Amino acid sequence: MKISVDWLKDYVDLKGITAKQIAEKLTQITCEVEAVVPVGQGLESVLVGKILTCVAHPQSDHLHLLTVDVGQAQPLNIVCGAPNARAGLMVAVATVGTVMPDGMKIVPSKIRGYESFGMCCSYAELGYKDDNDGIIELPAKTKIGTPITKVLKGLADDIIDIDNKSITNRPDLWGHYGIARELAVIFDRPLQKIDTELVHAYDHLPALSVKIEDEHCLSYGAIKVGNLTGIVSPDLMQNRLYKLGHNSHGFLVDVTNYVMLAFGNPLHAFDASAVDKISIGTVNAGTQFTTLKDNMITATKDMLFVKSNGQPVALAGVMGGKNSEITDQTNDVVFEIATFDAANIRRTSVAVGIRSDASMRYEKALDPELNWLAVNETLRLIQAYTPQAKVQSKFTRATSPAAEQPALQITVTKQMLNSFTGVDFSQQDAMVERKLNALGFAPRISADKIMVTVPSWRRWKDITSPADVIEEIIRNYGYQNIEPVAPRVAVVPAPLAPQAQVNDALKDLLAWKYAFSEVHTNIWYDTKALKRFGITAASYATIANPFNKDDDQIRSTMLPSMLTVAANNKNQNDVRVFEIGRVINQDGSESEHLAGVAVGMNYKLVSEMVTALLSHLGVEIAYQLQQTEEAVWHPTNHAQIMYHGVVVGSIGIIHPQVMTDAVGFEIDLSKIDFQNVAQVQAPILSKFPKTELDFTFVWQDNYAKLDAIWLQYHNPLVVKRRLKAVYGNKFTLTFTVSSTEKTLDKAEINKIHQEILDFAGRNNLLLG
Amino acid sequence: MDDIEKELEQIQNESDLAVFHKNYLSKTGKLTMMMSDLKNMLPEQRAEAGKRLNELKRKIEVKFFQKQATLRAKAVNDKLKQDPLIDITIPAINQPQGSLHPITLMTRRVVDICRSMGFLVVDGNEVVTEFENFDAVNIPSDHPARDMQDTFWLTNGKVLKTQTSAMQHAILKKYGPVVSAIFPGRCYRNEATDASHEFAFFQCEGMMVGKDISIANLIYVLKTLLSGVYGKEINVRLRPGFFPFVEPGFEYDASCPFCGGKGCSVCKHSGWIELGGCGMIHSNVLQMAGVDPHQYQGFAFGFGLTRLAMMQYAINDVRLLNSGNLEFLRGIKR
Repeated sequence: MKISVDWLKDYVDLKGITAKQIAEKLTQITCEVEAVVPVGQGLESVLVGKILTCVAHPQSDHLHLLTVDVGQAQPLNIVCGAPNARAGLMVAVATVGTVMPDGMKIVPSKIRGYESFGMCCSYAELGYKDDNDGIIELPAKTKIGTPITKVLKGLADDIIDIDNKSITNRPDLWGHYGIARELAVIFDRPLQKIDTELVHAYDHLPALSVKIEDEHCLSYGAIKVGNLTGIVSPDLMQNRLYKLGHNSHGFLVDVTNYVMLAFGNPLHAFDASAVDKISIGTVNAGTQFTTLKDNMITATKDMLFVKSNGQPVALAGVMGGKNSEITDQTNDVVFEIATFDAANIRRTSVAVGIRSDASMRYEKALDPELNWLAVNETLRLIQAYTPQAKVQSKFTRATSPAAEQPALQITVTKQMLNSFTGVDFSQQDAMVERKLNALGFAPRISADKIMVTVPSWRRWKDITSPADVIEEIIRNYGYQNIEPVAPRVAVVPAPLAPQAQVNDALKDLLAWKYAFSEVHTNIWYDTKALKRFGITAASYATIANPFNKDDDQIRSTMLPSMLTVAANNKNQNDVRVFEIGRVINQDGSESEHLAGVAVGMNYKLVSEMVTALLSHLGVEIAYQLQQTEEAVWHPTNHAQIMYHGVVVGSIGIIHPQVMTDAVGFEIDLSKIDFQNVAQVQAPILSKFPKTELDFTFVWQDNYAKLDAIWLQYHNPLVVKRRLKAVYGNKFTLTFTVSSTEKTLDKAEINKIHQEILDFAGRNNLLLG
Repeated sequence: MDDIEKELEQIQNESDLAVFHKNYLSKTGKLTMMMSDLKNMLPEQRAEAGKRLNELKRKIEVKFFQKQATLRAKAVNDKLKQDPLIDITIPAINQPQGSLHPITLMTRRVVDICRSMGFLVVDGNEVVTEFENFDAVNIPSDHPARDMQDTFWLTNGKVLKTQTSAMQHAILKKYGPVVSAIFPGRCYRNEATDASHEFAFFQCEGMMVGKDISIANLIYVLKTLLSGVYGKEINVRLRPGFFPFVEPGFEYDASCPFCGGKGCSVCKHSGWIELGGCGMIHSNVLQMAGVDPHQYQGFAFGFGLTRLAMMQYAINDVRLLNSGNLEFLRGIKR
C-alpha cells in the first residue's frame, strides 16, 4: 500500500521528521516499509513564468515561438508545441538544468532552426496529476519566478510503500489516518481529531430505504447526493490520487477513492436512478450478475449482494454492477459506506477471482465505526468543492447485531508482561500509559495489572488477548531494548534422531565412498519424462491444482526421478545420482525411500555397494531374482532386495530402451527397522588357527537359491561361509573352519570336509 | 686371517658376498670346517685354539653383516637412481567424485548446533492434512493468511506441506508441554519459478515451550544458534511481523555474517539479512495441541534452509538446487 507523507501531515504534525525516519520507525514498530520513493524532487528550477509573446513557428504547423518572463534579466526564448500556449498565460517553465521526473534533462536546444531555453510543462510532465491536455495554466496573480514546488501543493512528496502482507492483521492501517495514528504514537505527537458531526446536518432530510437481510453485512449506510455531474476534482485531490496510482475519473469517482485512501473504508457510488429500495443479502444460487468491469458472475447461495427492489446491483464489498454504474449522464448518486464480514467477502472474492481495493480491505475485518469517519469526509469534500451539489437524503445507516459488539476489556497482569517478555517493566508505567493512551486503549494501570479497553478500530480480529496487548506495549518499548536472556530449562540430553542418523550415514557412504551425488527432486512425477522413457509408474495421490497440468501424479517410486536426473546429465562423466526422499504408498501412507541410478557402472559393483551400504548399518540383505514386465527394468536382470524375508526394494539393470548402460536401485527405508538390528558384538578372536576350505559347485540357477540350500547346513565348527568367486555357472564357496577351544587336527578337518561333500551330494550339487 | 678380512673388505657386490659366505661361513665353509677340525686336536691345545677360532669367526661374522647391510643399502640406492621420475605435481584425474546436496550440508550445520543446545530434531511428512498445515497453527479456512501461501492441494483434501509449522501441532502433542525441538523439512508452494522461487524449498523451524519461556529467551536462542552456525558473533533484531501462529509475531534479521554488518552484496549493503519469522506461540496453537496456555508458554522461529544454503555457497539461482545438475552439485564439497 502506498502512503503519501504530504497527506499524512493533514492528520499529524511531522515537522522535523524525514520520510526516511518515518520509514525506519514504522519498520521497527508497526509494519514493513519496502521503499520510500521521493516524487517531484529537483523541480525547484521549474519557475512560474508569463508568456510575453507567442507567434507561430515558421517551419511548423503546430509549434509556437515564445518569449517567457521567468523573473530573470531577460525573457527566455522557448519553442513550445502546446495548443493552449498564448500570450499573457501564466505557465510553469522548466529552466535549463532541470531534470524532469521522467529523467529528461532540459538543455538549450534548437528546434527546426530556432533556439529554445526551457520547456513549458504540463501537469503530467511534472508528475503532478494525470492531465496532459496542454501546458499548465496558472492563475494570473501567481508571482512570476516562484518555484513551482511552492505553487503546486503536494508536488514534492515522499511515497512510502508498505508491504501489504505486513498489515494483513491490521485493518486500521489501510488508510492514511491509521498510519498517522501510529506515527502520532511513535513520535509522541498529537493526532488530528476528526469531526463526525457534519453528517448530522442532514438528519432532517428524508431517509433512504436500507434493509440488512443477512448478518454478514455488519453495517450499511447510504446517502443520496444530487447535481454532481461533470465536476472536475480539485488539484490536490487529483494529485494525491495520482501519486498513489489512481487516475482521475471526475469528482464523483475520485471522492470514493479519496475517502477510502484517507480512512480505509471503501465507498461505492451508484447511479441514484438505478437504486431504489436497498437491501443487502443473498440471491438465488445461479443468478447471473455482470460487474461494472464486465465480469460475468454466477451467484452462489452464500454470496452477499446489494439489491435494489430485490435485484442485485452490486457484489457486496467486491464490485459494483453494470446495471447501476455511474455514467456520463449520472446526475444523482447514492454513496454506499458499509462494512461486510471479512470471511464472507474473502470467500466471494476468491470464488469470483476479483480482488478489488474494496475486497482487499473488507477481508481484513474493518471497523463498522469507520463508516462515520468516511461519510463525514465525503460530505466535507462535497461541501468544499461542489457548491452546486445537493444532499437529498439523510445518511441512512442500518446495522446487524453482529456489528454491535460490547466493548472489549482486557487485563494483563504485570507478572505476565514480565514473564512473557523477559523484561522488567516495573519502572515503565508512565511509558506504558502514554503509548496505550495514544493508541486509544484507555489504560488503567494498578500495582499489579494493566487494564485496557480495546478501541473499535482494533477490535475486529486484531486485539483479542493479553498477548496482543503485550505486543502493543513492547513494540513501542522497542524490540531492540530487549536483552537476550538464556532460557532456564532443565539440562536434558537431546534425544537421538535415529532416522536422520541412518540417512546421514547412507549419504556419507554414497557420496564419499561410492562417488554418488545427492540430488533433490519433486515429489511428483515428471510426466513428460515418463513418456520419453516409455515407462509408467503407479501413483496413489493426485494434486488437484498442479502448476503444470500434466504433472499432477504424486510418486510411489523415486526411480523415475533418478532416471530423469541421470538423463539430464548426459554431458557428465560417471553419472551416479541418489536421493533420500518421500513417496506416497497405495494405502496413502508416506515412506522414505533411497533411490539411485548409476550410468556406466557395472551391475555387480552397484549390487555389492548396496549390500555394503546396509551392512554398514547392521542390515544384511539378500537378492532374489525377479523376472519383471515393468518397462523400466531389464526383463531378467532384476532382483528384489530382501530383508528378513520381506521385499524392501529393487535393484537391476535399467531396460536399455529406457537408458543404456544404467543400473538402478530403490530401497524403502521405512520397511527396515534400523533401530532393531542385532546388537553388534566384537568378533571373538580364536587363538587357534583357522582353516579355509574352498568348494566349487556347478550351479545352473541364481546364487540366492544356492545360498538357500547352504543356509540349511550347520556345523558349529564352520564359523563362516562366503561366496568367493563366480565364473559362469561355477560358484566357489569358502567355508572357514575353526574352534575356540583347540587346534583342529587333520582328521577333524577332513571329517568336516567330507561332511560338506556329503551335504552337497544329498542336495545334488555337482563339484566343478 | 688378515687375508680373509681383506678378501671381505674387497667384495663389492652381493653375489660375491654370497660366495664369500659359502666359502667361509656356511656349513661347508672353511671356518666351519676348522671348527669341526678342533676335535682332532690335542685336548690341551683344543681349548686355546677353539677360543681363538671362535673370536675370529665372530669377528668375521660381524664384518660380514656390516658388509651385507652396506651393500644392500647401496643396491637399493642404486636402483632408486634408475627409477623413472614421476611428476608428483599431477592432480587427481578422472577420479569419480560424489557430493552431498548443499541443503544437506547446511541442515547438518544447523542440526549439530541445535542438538548441542539440547533441541530434539524431528522429521516430518511432506504430505500433511489441511488441519496440520493450517487450522492447527491458527489459520482457519477463511483466514486471509491462507492466501499468503500458494498451496498444492491433493484431490484427497491433503496438502503438500507449505511450511514446517505444519509439524508444530504433532510435536506439541507428542512431546509437550515442555519441549525444545527443531524440525527441518521440505515444503512446497505453487507459484511460478524463477531465480528466487522454486516449488520445493527447505525450511527449519524450532520451538521451545515451558514455564516462563520469554521473548528475551527467543532472542538469546536465535543469537546463539546463528552464531554457532556461522562460527562468529551474530546479532539478531526483531521487527513487527504477522504470522497467525504466533502472538506477538516478529520478523527477524541477523547481522550479516559475510561482512560483519559493514554492508556487502549478500545483505544488499544494509548490514542485515532478513532471515524469517518468529514469536510467542499463539495460545490457540497451544490449546489445540492440548497444552494449557495459562501454565505454559513458548516461542517458535523459522528460517529458510534453502536461503541459508544459497547465501553460504553464493548460489544465485534457486532452481539449481533442484536441477540435479551434476556440474553444479559436484562443485559444492563441504
